[in-house]
Amino acid sequence: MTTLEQFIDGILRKQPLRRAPAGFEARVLQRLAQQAARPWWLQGFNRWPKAAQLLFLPLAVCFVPLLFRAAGSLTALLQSARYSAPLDAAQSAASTLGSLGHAAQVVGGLVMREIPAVWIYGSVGLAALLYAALFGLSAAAFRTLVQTPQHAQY
Amino acid sequence: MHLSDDETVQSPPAAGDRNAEFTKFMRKYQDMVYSTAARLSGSDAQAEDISQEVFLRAHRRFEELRDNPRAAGWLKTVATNLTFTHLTRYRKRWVFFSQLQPQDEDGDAPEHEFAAADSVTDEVQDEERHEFIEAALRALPEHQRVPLVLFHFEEMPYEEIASRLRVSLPKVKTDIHRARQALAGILARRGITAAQLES
Repeated sequence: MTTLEQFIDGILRKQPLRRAPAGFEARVLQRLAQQAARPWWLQGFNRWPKAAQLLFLPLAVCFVPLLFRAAGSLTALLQSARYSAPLDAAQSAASTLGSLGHAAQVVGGLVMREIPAVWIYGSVGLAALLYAALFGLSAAAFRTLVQTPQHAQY
Repeated sequence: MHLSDDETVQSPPAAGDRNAEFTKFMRKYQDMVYSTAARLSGSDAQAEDISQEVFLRAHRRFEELRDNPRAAGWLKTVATNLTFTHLTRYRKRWVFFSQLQPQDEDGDAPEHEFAAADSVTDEVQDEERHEFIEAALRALPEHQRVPLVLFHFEEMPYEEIASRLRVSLPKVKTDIHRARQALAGILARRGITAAQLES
């Protein structure tokens, strides 16, 4: 150990801890109370109840076909309303929505009927994989290009 | 399933008890966490934000930490990591503003004048000296202060500092040496020398 190193080491080791600000404890407790007051579904996924976490994935997968079915039902409902009541502005708007829903149903039905389910889920998996790969590449590029020692001040 | 008659022993602590225990835990470690963040970041405001985040994370893992002898180490590590994140996040902003301050060509600390007040007792003198040293640390440029603090306060070896900061080993050694020189210079102007330290 050099003299300078010993001197600075001696000085710094004698330094007492810095005191946290007076209101710090209250501030943390207040923040914890705010977090606790939020419903679980507004909190991070890792803080959801285990059952909700386990149910989330199958529900999310089932959501897409349910959406198509709902669109189909809505279309049928709107079309029946169109023939049973006089046309007015609201019905015209409803008709447009119905057409859109019908189109979505047709496209969805076509996709589900014509394309094998394995292909659909495979494509979704591939898209997720590509997305993860892109994310990884971006992270690696950021670490290499932005956080290199040449550029970093720390 | 057999339940014990003594439910007070078996049942988990109530929310109020848990909060009281966490408050006690926080009181025990808050100065240590705040010191680590303040000395590394060089900013009291940032240190407060970082310390808050450290304790919010600690609260999530309180069951593991409450009686764990390694809790202090965990808190220090999280405080250090979060400070690095803050420093990285605000680096560009920091560089921009640091360019407004006069610095030597090699990035050494500018000459700072610290107030020297008359002291009444040794205790006051000690307190003033501690405050003066903290101010001197804050005055060091970030690339010198961070490795210096990691080496002398966190007792991290050179190799680990270089690895954590992702800089070369010679650069770490040079920065720490320059930081010591700058600090010694500031202290000498205040009359704090090795001889005085020994006395």
